[in-house]
Amino acid sequence: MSLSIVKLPTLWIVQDTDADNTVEKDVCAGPCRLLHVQVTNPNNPSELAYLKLFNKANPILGTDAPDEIIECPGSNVASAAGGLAQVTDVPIHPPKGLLFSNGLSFACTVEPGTAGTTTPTLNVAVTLQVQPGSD
Amino acid sequence: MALSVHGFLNARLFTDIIADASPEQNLTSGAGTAFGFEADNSQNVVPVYLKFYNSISVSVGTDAPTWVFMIPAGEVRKGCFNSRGLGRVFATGVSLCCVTTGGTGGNTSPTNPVKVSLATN
Repeated sequence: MSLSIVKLPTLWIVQDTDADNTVEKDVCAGPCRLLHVQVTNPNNPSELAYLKLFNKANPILGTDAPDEIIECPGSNVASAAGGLAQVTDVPIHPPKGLLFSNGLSFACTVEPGTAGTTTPTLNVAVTLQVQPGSD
Repeated sequence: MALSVHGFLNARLFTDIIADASPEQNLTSGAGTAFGFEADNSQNVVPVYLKFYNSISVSVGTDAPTWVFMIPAGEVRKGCFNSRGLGRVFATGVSLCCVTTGGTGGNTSPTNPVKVSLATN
């Protein structure tokens, strides 16, 4: 994990350049609204990565059910799709975002669903745009 | 479930006016690309979870979904699988369900109807 957070007045940019099976817990230190998700997986040719987002401050990866799961293909798939699919962009509608009332935590593994705690072989980058608070 | 399908050229729009724990399976008749969805959870007071599977035959509550979207209580959520216009390829097939828990487990249908529309090719 290599987490950084840029804090603008009403918008935080949360970046993890090495999202893995270490859960980034409660990144907003309380409720927040998720506005946009980007997952980039250019380093793993054939390995799918799964970003798991939890509405929990302290989830147990592999046990607790993620509230959102986003799949991001590796570079082989990206090449077949014109080189762009290795970046998965998921904007959130409604525009006010998706409320994580208990806190937003996330991790990245190579397994879909709830189970599995295997870290991607090479770095997967995650960028979240969030609005702190529940307003 | 109550599924309808509308098609034009290679584009298809699936609408399920009662998306629930009974999965809609193999919507693309094999490999296909999912582009976007709209899920209307305006009739429920709790969130529901729209789950997608890269599979033609799903055991809800047991099989691991590859995508999960939380649909807030009382809201309509629109979403896409990749805003870069590429969608997301489901190499085996697109199947979906809607239940009251996230992750893999859980096979309880929403209390009141949730309408889901899905655009694929």
